[in-house]
Amino acid sequence: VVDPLEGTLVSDAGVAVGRVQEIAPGGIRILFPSEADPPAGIVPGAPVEVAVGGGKGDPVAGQVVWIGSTTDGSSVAGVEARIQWDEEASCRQQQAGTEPVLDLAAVRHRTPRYSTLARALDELFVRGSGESFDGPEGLVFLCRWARALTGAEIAEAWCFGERDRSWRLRAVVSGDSSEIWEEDGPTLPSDAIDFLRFREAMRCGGQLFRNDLDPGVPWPAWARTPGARAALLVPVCGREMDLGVLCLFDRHRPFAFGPQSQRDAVILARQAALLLEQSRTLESLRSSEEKFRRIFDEGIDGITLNDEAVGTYLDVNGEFLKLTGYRREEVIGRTPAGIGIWARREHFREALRALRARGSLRNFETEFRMKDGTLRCGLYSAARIEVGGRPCILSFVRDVTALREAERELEKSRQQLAVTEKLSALGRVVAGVAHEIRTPSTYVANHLFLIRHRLEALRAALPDLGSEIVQVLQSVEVAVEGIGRIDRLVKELRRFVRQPVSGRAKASLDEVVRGAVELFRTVGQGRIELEVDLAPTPPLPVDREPVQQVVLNLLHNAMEASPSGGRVRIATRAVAGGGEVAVQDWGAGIPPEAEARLFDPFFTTKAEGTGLGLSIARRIVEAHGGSIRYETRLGEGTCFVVFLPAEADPTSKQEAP
Amino acid sequence: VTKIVIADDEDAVLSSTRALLEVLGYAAIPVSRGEEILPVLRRERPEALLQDVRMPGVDLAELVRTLRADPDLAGIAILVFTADVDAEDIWKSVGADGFVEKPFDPPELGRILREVLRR
Repeated sequence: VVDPLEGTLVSDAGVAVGRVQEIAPGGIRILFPSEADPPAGIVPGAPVEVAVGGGKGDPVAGQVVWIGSTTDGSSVAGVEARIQWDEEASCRQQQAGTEPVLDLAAVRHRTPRYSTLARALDELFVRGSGESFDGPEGLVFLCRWARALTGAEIAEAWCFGERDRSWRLRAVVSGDSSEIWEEDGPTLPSDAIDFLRFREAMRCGGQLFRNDLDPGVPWPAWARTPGARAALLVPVCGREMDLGVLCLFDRHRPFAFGPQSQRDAVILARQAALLLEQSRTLESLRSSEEKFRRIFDEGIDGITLNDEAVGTYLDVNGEFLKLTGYRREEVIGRTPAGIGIWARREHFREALRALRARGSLRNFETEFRMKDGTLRCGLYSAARIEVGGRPCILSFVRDVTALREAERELEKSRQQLAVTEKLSALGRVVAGVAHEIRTPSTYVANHLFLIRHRLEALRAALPDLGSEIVQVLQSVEVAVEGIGRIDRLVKELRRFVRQPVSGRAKASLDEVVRGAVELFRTVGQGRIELEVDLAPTPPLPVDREPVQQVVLNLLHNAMEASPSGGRVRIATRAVAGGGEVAVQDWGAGIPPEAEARLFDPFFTTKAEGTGLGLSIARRIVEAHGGSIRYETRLGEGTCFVVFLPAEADPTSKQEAP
Repeated sequence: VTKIVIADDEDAVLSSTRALLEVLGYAAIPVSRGEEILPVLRRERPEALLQDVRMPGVDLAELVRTLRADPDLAGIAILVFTADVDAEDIWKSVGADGFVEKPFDPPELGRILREVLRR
């Protein structure tokens, strides 16, 4: 007879001999636990009759078709017997209509307590794996099922804090109502002793129950429910510590909690403990994963995770995408070589080799090519790691382009500053020297004028001495010319050390050059044939006078390099980003040994040169953000080309005098 | 004869320029010390003053202001000259009438003087 309350198979003698495992339309499976031998009649081939207890339904005839041991995990759980209904009985049952011979659901229905525990565990498990059990909802859930299972009037669940005297959460469910308390602190001192003693007892795996509460019996005050006649306290114990307690009370039935209730409550509490622990582990995992995810996603470095074997990108962070300009789907599944991100393949190979040899790589500086083709300077660090058993490479790339640019910029301005300082010191010296030279020059020149004036008068008065006087006058002329030359040198020196004066206005280069050419023709002594080819350029921001100075210097050099009557060509043209002026001569060319020092101040190959022309020219051009270059062939000639940009380089300072 | 006062602390410049001005047909009165400038100007009432830019004890801007403010001296044309480089802008900023760079070409000095005096 199947006992519908217990789900057990009861022998004719009324002793539970086995448990119903499964009831199928064709038969039934019954487990006889190891402790008890199967009843004598249960042997293969033996006819049996099975009935549901309580007189409901006729016994069904069948036959034992199989007996064997069954295992529960590793240990033998007992002997299992399979009983197959007789053909006739099955047919009869089917003809009768609705119900199968024995319906497990029906059995479960008739054994509410069993099904409740099974369901409770199921539900708890589902609830616990779906969302965190470690919260008020979890505790209320536990209380509801504890009540359903044990019939307790009030169910109360506590969640302990991390410290001995504290609790975090307390849920009380009574009828349909539930209450939640949250506290993060010690319990009241008077309660603390009981509380600690209770926790101690709980830790030892005990449980406390009183079926007939006497007001005189000391009962933990914190767990006292006024008017309770029966109480059952079960620890919610994790693997290492007690996590909480499940308390059940009943105010009406003094003997509310029997052994079955105690056992069920313990099972329920264990399940709850498992879920609590799992929730906490998951939570801490989740938060640590979240932490790492945040580092990954919001890191200031570009971070990528690549499969080591095939090299494909498995994951990249937002910074990487922002940096490179790629979209996620454009890189995931592709390789660094595939998207060509390493601008220098030899660096890529070198980095990989080092990574394989040492397992990690730090601050390897190289250039990366962004999606739009631009190159950026990056510090590459990487480590070989395993993700889910798969060898991977975790890479960090820090963009140091701006840093390197700033460093270069700093170095440039440092050099510029050094030059400027030198020049300004030199400038003061030159200004002082110029004044000292020009003062005697003044009275020498004045006296030369007076001498000339008086000699002219003498020549008129003394015609006999005319030729003598003319000779002296010629000497005076040479002296006057010498004074003029001294003064030009002083002025040129001064111009060299003077900082460019800002006075830029938009002007087309051909027009500026034309002015210089006019100027050159008036002083150029007609020694050469000047060929002028000035194509219009767009307006450029130029400081007219210094730029004309540049052109004059170049023309002067070209003239000096040309043989008498030689040809010099000057041309302008518009180029991308600005304009160019080229001065070409067909002279001797620049000897290789002179090239290195070509732009050095005071370097000259000419007997009468100051050595300042080209260095001044270069300073002026660079102050405009432009450049000066040349091509030369020995014996064939030289061409200097000055480029001036349409947009002045914003970093080039317009220096004050 | 047009009278010109020349003020310069450099005697060789002073004397040679004076001789030169006389050759050019002017009556030149030399002043070598800063504090003598105003008394000489008051006494001589010249048509022009040829004034060195850097003369000990003379603040050029102050001197020009004083002359302009004095009804007796306001008519004097002020021409500054200097051996300094980059001094072209100074004469305008102090409000002088003209500028000559040392060393100068005497005919050029004469031309500038005539121009300043005409104004």
